[in-house]
Amino acid sequence: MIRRELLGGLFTEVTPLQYRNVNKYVMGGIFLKALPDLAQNNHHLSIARKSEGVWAKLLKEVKRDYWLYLMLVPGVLYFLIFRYAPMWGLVIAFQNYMPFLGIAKSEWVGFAHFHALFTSPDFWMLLRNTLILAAYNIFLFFPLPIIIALMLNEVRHEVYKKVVVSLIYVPHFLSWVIVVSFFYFFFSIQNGIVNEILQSLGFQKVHFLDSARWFRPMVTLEIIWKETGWGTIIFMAALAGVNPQLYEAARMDGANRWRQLYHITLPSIRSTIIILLILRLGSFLDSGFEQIYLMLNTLNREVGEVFDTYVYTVGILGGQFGFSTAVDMFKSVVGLVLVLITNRLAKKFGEEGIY
Amino acid sequence: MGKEFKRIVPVVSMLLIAALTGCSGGSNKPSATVSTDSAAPLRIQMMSQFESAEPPTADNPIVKYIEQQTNTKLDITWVLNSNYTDKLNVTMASGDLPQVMLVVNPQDTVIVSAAQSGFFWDVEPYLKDYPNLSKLDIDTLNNTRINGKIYGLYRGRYPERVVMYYRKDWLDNAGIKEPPKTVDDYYNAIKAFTLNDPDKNGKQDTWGITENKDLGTYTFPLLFGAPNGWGYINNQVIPDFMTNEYMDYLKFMKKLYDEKIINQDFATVPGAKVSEDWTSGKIGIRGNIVEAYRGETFVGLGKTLPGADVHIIPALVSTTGQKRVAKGSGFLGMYMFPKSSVKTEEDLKKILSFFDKMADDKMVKTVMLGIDGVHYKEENGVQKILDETNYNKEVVPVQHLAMRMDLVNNGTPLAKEAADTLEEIKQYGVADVSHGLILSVESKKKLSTNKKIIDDAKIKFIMGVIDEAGWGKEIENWKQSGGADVVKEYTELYNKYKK
Repeated sequence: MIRRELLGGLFTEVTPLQYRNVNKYVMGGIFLKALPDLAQNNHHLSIARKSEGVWAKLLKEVKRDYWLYLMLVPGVLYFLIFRYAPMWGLVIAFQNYMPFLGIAKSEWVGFAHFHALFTSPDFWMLLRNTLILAAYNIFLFFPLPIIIALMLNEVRHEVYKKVVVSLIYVPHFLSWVIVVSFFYFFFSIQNGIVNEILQSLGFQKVHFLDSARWFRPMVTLEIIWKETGWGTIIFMAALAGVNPQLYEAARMDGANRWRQLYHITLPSIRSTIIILLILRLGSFLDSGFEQIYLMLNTLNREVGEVFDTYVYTVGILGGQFGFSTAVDMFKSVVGLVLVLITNRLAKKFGEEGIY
Repeated sequence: MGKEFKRIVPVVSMLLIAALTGCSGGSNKPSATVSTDSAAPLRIQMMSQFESAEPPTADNPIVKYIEQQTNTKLDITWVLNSNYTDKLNVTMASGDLPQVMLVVNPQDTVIVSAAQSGFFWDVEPYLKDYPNLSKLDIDTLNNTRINGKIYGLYRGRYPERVVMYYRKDWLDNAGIKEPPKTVDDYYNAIKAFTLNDPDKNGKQDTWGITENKDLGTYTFPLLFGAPNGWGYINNQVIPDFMTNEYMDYLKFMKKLYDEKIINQDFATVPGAKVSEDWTSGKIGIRGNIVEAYRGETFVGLGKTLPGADVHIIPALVSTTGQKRVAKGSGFLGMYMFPKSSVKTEEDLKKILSFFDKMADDKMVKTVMLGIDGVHYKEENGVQKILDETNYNKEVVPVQHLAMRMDLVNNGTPLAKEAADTLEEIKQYGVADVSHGLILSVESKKKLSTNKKIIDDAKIKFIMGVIDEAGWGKEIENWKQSGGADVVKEYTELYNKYKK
């Protein structure tokens, strides 16, 4: 079981994108809610340390709140078994891993795989493609849920608001295969609705799906269509928590809608935005394997091949397990560094950060 | 209420914990050792593939029949054929292996390096002891060799088997008198099928052929005189795409594309689409294996598309004057036995004796056609399927277990055509000189990473993204990023073993 898990990110069916996202967002939510409590608890503990033994104090705490700790157990176990234990598999990044020899008997090669990766002509292509896609994602997709949440927040008709929210988050539950099929249906060069309309209006057909130029816009458009609604919910939840008295007070001071938005709404959800941004940067180099893999073809490979698809081709199809683990490990390390940096920055600017 | 809740909470949390730990509690697979009691059925774990819509059910009557005939208990992991290689590599990586693995391409790096390290049983010394296995074809066995050793039992296929199926009714409707004989005729038929409204519905919505991103549904470089895969030319073993004849093929495809008599979106179309186009009456020509004639989409196409009349053209005359048909390696995948799960020689012998029974003529027939009297009936050498629905549900899903694929005579006129074709094309076979030559792991890696360069360049050339000079550049690129080493190594191997 553990060894099967060891290739971690390679197993798309085990950790599909939407699942990862749910996890990320939900975790974000929990962190948000739990932060004040945690701070309090820490404070509590540090006082305890001075007076009596840590263990004794801890035992006492566990005794007092044992229901809470019991409820914590499944979550902790989940992380230990499915997230921490498989991490040992990363050692194969430093091995010339032969499946049938196992980790114990495979030859150690040190940083050879990393050396091969960084000197490979593919590396810069992969890094560039991954970074540009991630940038599209951060700049074009990330602000959208915020904007839509703010807009919906201004809607006073409750039923209308609820219907709109429900409708826009439905696409989140569709799998990438379905979403990409939709896009093929609309944008194909042959019988694609959009191209047929363009042609009937006298324009040239556009190679939306099979050209390097349109690859990134199409991929980003798909993400926007699929995930915007889902992201909106998180911000809507944050907006619901804003104290209505603040608005009343602002209105008394003569603030109009824009002023209220600028001085109350935005500052209230600023921490949510920043935490989600930090978490998003943690998976900055994740491009979403399924989607990219489905969108890739001969004519857009030069801009479309990213680390995720490369790991699949080289690792699973080509059987170079050690090398592809090294590639994925590089990706994770970059993600970790980005999280650390942004978290640092967030704290510097007076925000809470994620830890 | 409160008390009730308190009582429920621990139960629920225990359940949660149990569910979580249950998932991680190691594999609950049955013991990998083969039962020693001769009376008890032998338990065999296998990994095999299926390509029907649904995997075979647990109580599949064919599997039950095999178990009963061979006194075994089969524990088969069925994997969809389109992602079989993924699953196989992942299974290899997990180290948790079945006793019998169907390996579709024994030339894969993972398999070759495992075999070279002595990971699989060498079965050659044992074959002579079994009545059916001793009769396996030696040429085909030689093609399966890795480092000179035979590491498994192949699933036999006719070496020459790809033929051209076409719609005779369309030919008539399009005003063509004779079925295509040459590449020029072929081009004319494609053109007529696109422009002359062969389905008589008043719309231009048909094609002669449709292509997909993998290319080569029937239009093969062979038709233009290029080698089949790898050829020995000017004292070198080179891939087909380095020849001038291959350029003729590409230009032909480009012409089809430019004249819009082939689907314009082929670069994004998945392989299975062609079959869909054929069954829905969008195309009039397709290539397929000759054994497939008895399927509902060939001999039975008239049932879903009224008037459809399917016939076979054994081979076209290539532009160089001869008829040329790709000669395959004579097998499609082989069963291999990892030493880590088949622990002793005794266990291996038991499993081999199971496969010996599977290679028996009657058993092969059962796996292909079902149980005599239930799924099919045989009279005067003609095998009739009794109930297509039942046959498709119960027999088709397990057909990958067949040790051989034979041509079945279902008594239709097309069956006669197929049988004659099979006999005729034997003489046109063009062998791939690389068959049976095993590259070093290093070269294999180069070849598999380089494949993309050529695959992409082909499509780019056909769509006019690159020209002939650009193609030359891509070939140069292929050579430099390891291709030249592969050519050198193949040439050395060829001189050593085949000259």
